[in-house]
Amino acid sequence: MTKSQQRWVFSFVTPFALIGLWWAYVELLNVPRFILPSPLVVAEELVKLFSGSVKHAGKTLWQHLGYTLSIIATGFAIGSASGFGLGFILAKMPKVEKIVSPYIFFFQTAPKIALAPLFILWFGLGLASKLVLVVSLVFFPVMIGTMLGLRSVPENMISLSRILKLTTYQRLTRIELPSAVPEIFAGLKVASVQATIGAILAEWLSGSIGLGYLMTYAGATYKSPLLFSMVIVTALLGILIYQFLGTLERWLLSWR
Amino acid sequence: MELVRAEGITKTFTTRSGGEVQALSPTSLSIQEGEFLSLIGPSGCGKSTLLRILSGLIEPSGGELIWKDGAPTSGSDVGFVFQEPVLLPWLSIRDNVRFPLDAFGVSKAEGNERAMEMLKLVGLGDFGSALPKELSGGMRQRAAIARALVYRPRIVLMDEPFGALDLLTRDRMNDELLRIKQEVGATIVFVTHSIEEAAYLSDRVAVMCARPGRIRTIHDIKYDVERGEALKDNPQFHHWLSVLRKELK
Repeated sequence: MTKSQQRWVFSFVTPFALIGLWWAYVELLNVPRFILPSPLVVAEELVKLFSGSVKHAGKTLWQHLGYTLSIIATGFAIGSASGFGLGFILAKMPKVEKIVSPYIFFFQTAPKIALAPLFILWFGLGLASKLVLVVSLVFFPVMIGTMLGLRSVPENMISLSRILKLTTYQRLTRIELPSAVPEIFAGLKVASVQATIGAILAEWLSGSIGLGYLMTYAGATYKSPLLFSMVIVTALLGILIYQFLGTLERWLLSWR
Repeated sequence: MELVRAEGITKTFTTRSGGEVQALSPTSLSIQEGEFLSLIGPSGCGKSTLLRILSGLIEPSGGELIWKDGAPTSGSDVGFVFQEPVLLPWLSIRDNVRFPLDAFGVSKAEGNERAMEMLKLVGLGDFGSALPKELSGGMRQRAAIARALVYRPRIVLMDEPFGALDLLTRDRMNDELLRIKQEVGATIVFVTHSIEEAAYLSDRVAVMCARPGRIRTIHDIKYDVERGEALKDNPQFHHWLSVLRKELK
């Protein structure tokens, strides 16, 4: 098999074969719809959802999706900005890092998702607790990427900046930050996946809007086709966000 | 005309276990304007240390440098070529060569012009828009030389610039360097551990030895013929090779 044939098999034949298997299993064994809906039913549901003709919990899919996206985007922006900020400070001030790193390590390893109920207790059922969860998930990967990136600037590039007597600002903007971009991006990509998981989980726990809420709603009311559609939608959302960052990265790091 | 004089320069490094290693025992050296001076010696003889002290990258433990027009205050006074090209991989070759000029506040238009001029001089005129990763090792090192020369520094320091290249490329780069030097007329201090390279390129060769690092002898290298491929078959060249080789033993 040539490479392009292989690609074709993986991107078309395999998924269709899997869907076929799923369909055959449901049809032949007469699996009840609320346990496992057939792919046809799920597809129908998806069409209905995306056309906006059906409302669940009082809102169309697009409204739920918009809410979730706004949480992801806001949380991602706040989390990555503060992660970058602290990562920068720690990379530049080893003394500060020595003092705070044990605490950071503690919070970094703490399972944030398990803390979600606590966040709700502290910040309420609304937007704030959801943002806190997303921010706490985004913060660490970006902070660590920034630290790693700024610390791994090649020694000789620093020597060059000293030969040319660059100012601290010049060295930072012309050498250190561009050189740290690959590591920062690695952090951002991990963070984007975490942000998606965090936002959906937060909506799952509280509130009455968003993709996460729609999933609990579907589960609680035995709307299995809706639930399955939501799994597909959230997975696609995660992939889309990751791909978006990947494209941005390829564009920014075309020199690699 | 003397450009800079090192007087009784010493350098002691503190090891991690707290011991002290003398990399350079009191060393004096006078560098003339426009000359090509090679520092040659076994590893550990302090040749790179001396070069880095001249560049200001490291401070001497003792002694002083006396510059003709005062110590370098601006980055544009010293050019440095490392063993690796140390190009910024995210910038095109032209932008890499323009990089120092940008930092010194030269306008972009003038910077581009001077960068392209210098790239033509090192034989990379057609590669300005290429990225460093797209060039061979020899070409990258040429770009690094162009970057060190583009702001016409008072002194150009080269730390085994061709050490990482294969022999054929290295030979070609030596010829290129002779030509570039003639056109630019820069003062060059060149660290190498290749006797051939030192004898081929230098006006003067300082032979250094180790434990503790010091300059053993300095030779004026003069030939009756012009420097070039033919020189390598010349008995005078072979005379210098054997003199230098004996001294390095």
